[in-house]
Parts: sequence; structure tokens; C-alpha cells
Amino acid sequence: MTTIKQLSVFVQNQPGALAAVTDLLAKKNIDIRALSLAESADYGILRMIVTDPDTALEALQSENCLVKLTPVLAVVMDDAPGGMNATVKCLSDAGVSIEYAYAFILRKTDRACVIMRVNDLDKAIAALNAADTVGVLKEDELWGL
Amino acid sequence: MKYFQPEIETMPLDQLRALQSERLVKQVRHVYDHVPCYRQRMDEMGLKPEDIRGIEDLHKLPFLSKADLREQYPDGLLAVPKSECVRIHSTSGTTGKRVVAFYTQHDVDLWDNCCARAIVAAGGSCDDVVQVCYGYGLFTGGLGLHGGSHRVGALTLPMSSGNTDRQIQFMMDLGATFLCCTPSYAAYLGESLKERGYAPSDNHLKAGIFGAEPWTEEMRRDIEKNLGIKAYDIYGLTELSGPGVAFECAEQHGMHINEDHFIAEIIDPDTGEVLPEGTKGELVFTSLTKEAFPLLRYRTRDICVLSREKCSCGRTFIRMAKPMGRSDDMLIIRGVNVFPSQIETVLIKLGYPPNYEIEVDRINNSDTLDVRVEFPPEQFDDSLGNIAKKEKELASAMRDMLGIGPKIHLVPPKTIARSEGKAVRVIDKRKLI
Repeated sequence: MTTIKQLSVFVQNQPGALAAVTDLLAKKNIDIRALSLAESADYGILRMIVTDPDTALEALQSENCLVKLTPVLAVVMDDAPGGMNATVKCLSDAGVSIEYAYAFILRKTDRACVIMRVNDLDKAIAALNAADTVGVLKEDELWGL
Repeated sequence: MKYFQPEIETMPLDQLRALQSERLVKQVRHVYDHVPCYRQRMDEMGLKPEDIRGIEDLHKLPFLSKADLREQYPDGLLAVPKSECVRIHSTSGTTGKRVVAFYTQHDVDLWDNCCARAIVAAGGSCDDVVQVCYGYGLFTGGLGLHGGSHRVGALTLPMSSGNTDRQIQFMMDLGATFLCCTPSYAAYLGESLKERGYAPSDNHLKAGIFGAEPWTEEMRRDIEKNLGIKAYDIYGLTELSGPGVAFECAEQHGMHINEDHFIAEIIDPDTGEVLPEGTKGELVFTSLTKEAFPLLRYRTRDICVLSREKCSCGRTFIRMAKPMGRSDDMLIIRGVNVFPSQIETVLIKLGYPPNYEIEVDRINNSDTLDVRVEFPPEQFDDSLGNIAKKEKELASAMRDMLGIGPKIHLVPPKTIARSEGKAVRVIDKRKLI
């Protein structure tokens, strides 16, 4: 699998809703490596890449959280001017559209990683793997970096 | 056993009418002689008990309203000495002052018989194990079905409401075959069983008798599927005795009114005029046999239709359709009549659980209607756009059903409180008085 499991959690816009999720992950000793929070008027979706998505899913479900594992891409690129541009161009040339994305910098390298949800996973993976300066990470590769 | 009291339940119509007439004449005399406020009303109209010679004269009698009952709190309508009474029950008092109803032993007996008829009509017999999880106490649900179950000779589990773990344990360990509770609690039990890993075929239940709150045909199908049973409706009011005023037979097509004890009329709620059979209007009951608390022409505020059409079950008792809602439940929002049951219908149709909360408010002199709905986990798919789309779909289906558009709020599963008795679904924040 060249996709990464992302946790998507429905959270209501009210004090404590987000804390309930992060508190549970902390108790289960699960590390959040990247996250984004999309919001609308009443609620938001918390999207996270965590160290143990399956355990996190189970823990959140048992607390009646609305949660789902979503396949996303972890795209690595140079952490340098033009790095993101190369990635986006590669996808747009392949006719793939990005539904949402959020980025983080990898600790031990000069590479950056962007988590992406796209409308066509296979096409996106093929295009990104064919490009010189970008690549798609597998789950174990992501944690090795 | 198909009928509990076959000679009464299948009595030819002319005999039934004669029985009603005879009992009405006697009852009017009893009330006139023993209930001062009703006598005063009849006197003011120049009406004497002897003017009522049969059911054809029923329309001459004055109505009783819930307000009258509250005014006579606690015992102004009591028609026998207290020493002859053996029990009271009382309404919940959520919409105002409580109403206290009194029972002699004869009244309890006839009520038990009515509930026994309901249990037998739903397929029950002395071989059944009846789990009663209506509340026991002032509320009539628990002791009503309890009495009916005893009368049938079934093994009765007097569980009362609440403590779902214990309900499930007894249901499984004692092999309950009948379930009696509110429909919302039946739905909750179905959900709880599923959560604990039980399939509908794992329980021994075959039927349930559910009442005390309005519910829809969709909810019935849901309960039937989740519990693996046939779900029967039952109707009653504390003012008239309790559950068992009317009950469903195997046809599940309207509830047979126990006409040897109660006469039903449909009236125009505005003019009080009696409407012909088959017309929608307010249901009015006259209790023919109760000694302690005999109500004549009591206005239920339930909107409903009656049908004398022959039922294939063989009972001759008239049938009442499921009330479209008690006017207590009806909300008037932006001038439109809204029943919570309509919202429930839309939810089940679109695949949502029937757990919801309605909040009505008035902001800048305009009514607002907000409906909180639980998001079924399988429908959540990580897209904000889809959530917004689902909310729009629900709002538009409700607009079609109600005539006014609500604002929908999807909330995570299990965040709306489950009821163990009557479900509280409406929060009306308007201060209209």
C-alpha cells in the first residue's frame, strides 16, 4: 500500500470537543505526527496522521466518536523553493485534483511532507512516483524519516 | 386463544349499541347524583339525567376538558366515597397541574381486562413471559400492562423503566416473549442489544405492546426489525383508566376501542360539533363503566379518525387510527402546525436513527426551528461538503413534510439523551406569555 491511514474525526464546535479526542490519544500513548482542522459553522473535521491509527480508531469508536480511516497520500518533496510547485504541477499534469492537503517538515532530512487527499489515488501515485524530485511514502517509510 | 373475552369483543353491533345505551343511562345518573360540578353544568343547560335515554342522546351532554379536570384537582370529580377506592394514578403533569384519577376494585378489574384483551390480541397467552418496562407508580403504563398480564395468566416480569443492563439480562435469562414499554425505549433496547452483540434472533421475544407516546409506522418497522418481533400499538389515557382504552389486533390496522367500556366520538375541535365516521377530528371519550372517576364526553385533544369498517380479526369494536399527535405535542411554528412525529418519519425514511431533539426559539420576532440529528457512523466519510449536503437533504425533506424549513444540526452518535420513559424531544425556548 502506498497510501497512509489518516484518522478523520467529526468534532462539534464547542469547548472540550477537541480535547476529548486529544486526551484519549494521549492516554493511549499515540503520537500525532500531523494534523489539520477543517471547520464549518457547527462542526469540523479533525484530520490526523498518528503513530497507531488502528488502535486510535478503536479507542475513539469505543467513546462514540464519529471517526473514520481515510486513505491519503504522503508526498515527500524537497524542503526548498519550488518543492511544492513541482508536486502540484506533477498532479495537475496528470489531471488529478487535490481535495485537501496539509504539510509538515520531516525532522532528520531536508525534505518536507504533504498529506493529500486526491480524487484519483492510482493516477496520482503513478504520476508522483514517475517524477524526479517527489515521491510517495509508505507508512513504515514515513515513520523512518 | 384469539380473544380474551370473545362474547364481548365480537358482539354483534346492535347488541353492542344496546349495551352501551343501557350503561350510558346508568352512568349519567351516577355522575349526576355524585359529581356536583357536572350536575351543576347539566342543570345550567336544563338537562336532566332522564333526558339521556340512549347513545343517540349522548351529544346533548356537556364536554369535559383537561382544564376542568385540573380545576377539580384533586378529587372534585370523584363519584364514590374515598373509602370505596383502592388506588390512584396520576398524569405526569408536564403540561400543567397533575390530574389524579381514582379507582375502585371494579375499576381496576375492568382496566386489567382491557389490557388483557390487548395482550391476547397481540398473540399472548398464559404461556408467555411478559416483560413490563413501563414505569411503575403513578404512571399508568406499568401497573396497567402488569394487571393485564396477570389477568391473562402470563409470567409477569415487573421490571419498571430504566436500568437497561438489567432489562437485557432478565430478557435473556428468563426468555421474555412479550415486551411492554414506550416505543422510544423499545428502539433503545434494540440498539442496546445490537451493541452488546446480540442478533434479533438471539432473544425469545415474539411481540411487543408499545404506547404512551406518539410513534410512526416507520418506527414500528424499525423496532420490528431490530428486535425480531411484531410491534403493536396501544392507546389510553390516565383520565380514562390508562393503557388499554384501545388496542391493535394482528391486522395492525387501527386500534379497536373497548366499546363496552368507552364510547368514542369525533368532534370538530373548534365548534364541538360531532363529525361523521371517517372524518378527522378530536377524539372524545365517555367512560361507561368506571365507578370512581367516570368521565362523560372527555375531550382528549388527540386528533384522529375512526373506522367502523369490518376487521378480519372478527372484533366488532370500532377502530381508531394512530392519533396524528396529541395537541400537547403539537408545536405551532411560524403559524404552521408541526408534530414531532412528522420529523421522525423523515429521519427514518432517510436512514437516520429516530433520536432527535427539536429546539424552537423566537429570535427578532420570528420563530426558529432547529433539529439535532445523530449522524449514523456509516454515513460519515471525511468530507465537509458531504456533511453539508446531508444537512441540506434533511432540511429539504422536512420542509416538504412540515411546510416550514428547519435548520439541521448533525451531531455525533449517542449524544442525544436516550429516554427510558417518555422521550423528551422538544425544547421550546419561546416565551409567548
